[in-house]
Amino acid sequence: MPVIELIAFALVVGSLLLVLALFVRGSFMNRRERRREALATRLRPAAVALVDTDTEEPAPELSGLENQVFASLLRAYARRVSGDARDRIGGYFEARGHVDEQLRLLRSRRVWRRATAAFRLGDMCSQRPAPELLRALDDRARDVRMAAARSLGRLGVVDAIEPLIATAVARRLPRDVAALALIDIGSTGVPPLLELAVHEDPRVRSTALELVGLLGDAGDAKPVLDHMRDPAAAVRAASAEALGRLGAAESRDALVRALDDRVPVVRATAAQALRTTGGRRTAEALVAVARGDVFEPARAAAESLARLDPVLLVETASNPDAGPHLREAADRADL
Amino acid sequence: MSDSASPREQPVVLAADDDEDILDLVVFRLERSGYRVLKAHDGAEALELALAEVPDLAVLDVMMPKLDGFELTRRLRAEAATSRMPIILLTARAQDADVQRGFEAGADDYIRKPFSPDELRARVQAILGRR
Repeated sequence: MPVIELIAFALVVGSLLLVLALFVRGSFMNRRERRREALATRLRPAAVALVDTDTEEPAPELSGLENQVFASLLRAYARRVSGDARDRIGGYFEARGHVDEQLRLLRSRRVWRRATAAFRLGDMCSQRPAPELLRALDDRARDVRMAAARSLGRLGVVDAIEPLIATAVARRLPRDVAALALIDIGSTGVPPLLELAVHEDPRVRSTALELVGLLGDAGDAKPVLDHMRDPAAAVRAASAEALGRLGAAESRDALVRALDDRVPVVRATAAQALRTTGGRRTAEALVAVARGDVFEPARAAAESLARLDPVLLVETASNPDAGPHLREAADRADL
Repeated sequence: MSDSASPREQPVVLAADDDEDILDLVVFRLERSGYRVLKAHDGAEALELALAEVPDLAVLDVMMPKLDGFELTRRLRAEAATSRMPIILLTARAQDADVQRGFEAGADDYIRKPFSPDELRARVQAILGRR
């Protein structure tokens, strides 16, 4: 038989074997997936019973795939419950060795194993892995750092606030991933964030203040007011934005003063923030900015005025010297 | 509430959420607390069940397909049979504006997600106990 025909024959046989191998693998995966689904249906009531705080039923004894499926059900429930239910889930994962197993995988040489472990630990409701997750924020792989950040947020680790901000500022973590983790930590994170508002790096100060606005309430406005005099414009803008979100009336004067800031973005942010604090003097100050300032502050001021005092907006917009922003806002107000 | 109570003697609670995991947890907690629970996986199914069965209370997710929790609350308030039915909204949103929107739509209370099953039971018992 000529060589060329032998090669062709070998290629055909090789292709057939590859197709057969893929078919067998596909069938195996499908069967395994169906088995997982059937197990999930069977184990779901036991998982719900374990999560529920009142039940005295012991967790079932499981092995192999059952154990994996039960753990994945509990991790899914962990994302949906708070309070004692989370303690019960954490107790289960610690007692059954799942936390230790994931901590071992977090030290694996393979990136995907470390990332998966970092992710899973966040849904195990145990504080024990917090130190290792904090170390994982310095992992060489971005996926691991992201998973660790998400888990630190899910576990509400207050000690993670500064490293999360520092890692995001150093661009080793996407800003939105860090922000979501910090938001997950919740209002318990406000005092440490206020401590970071005097950090030497203005990027850290501005991020911390921005987050105070997202996590705090009107009672947190007073310490933010001091930062309206920060030498860095980004920090003053972040403070103004935070004050707008916190919505405390006591921040009104500082925001009105910020309408005269030398940096346009601070004036624009202050104008926008004033729509939540209101007040007669505010409306007059906003008219002045909307009438004479550069594009961004003027537009923000006109839009805030439309929200605060639409009648004054329409009256002012009818004047010949009103300027385009007031007229545009008045057109949109459609009174 | 005893377990031997017949279905008609048990207070009926409608639980609506498109997240099967949350629905599991809500239904388990309420059934364990002695309520008969009607399950709905979207707003339209919840409306249909509420009008057909007129439950004693409804626990509704805000973000549901077909009909969100706000709109569903408004429609239930507009129907004579369900206009006085207590409604608790389950909301994942942290914004006060959404809570306010829920109250404006006619909700009686709200629970934030992630939620505590104990808190859910306490709120349901508090509302039904007042009636």
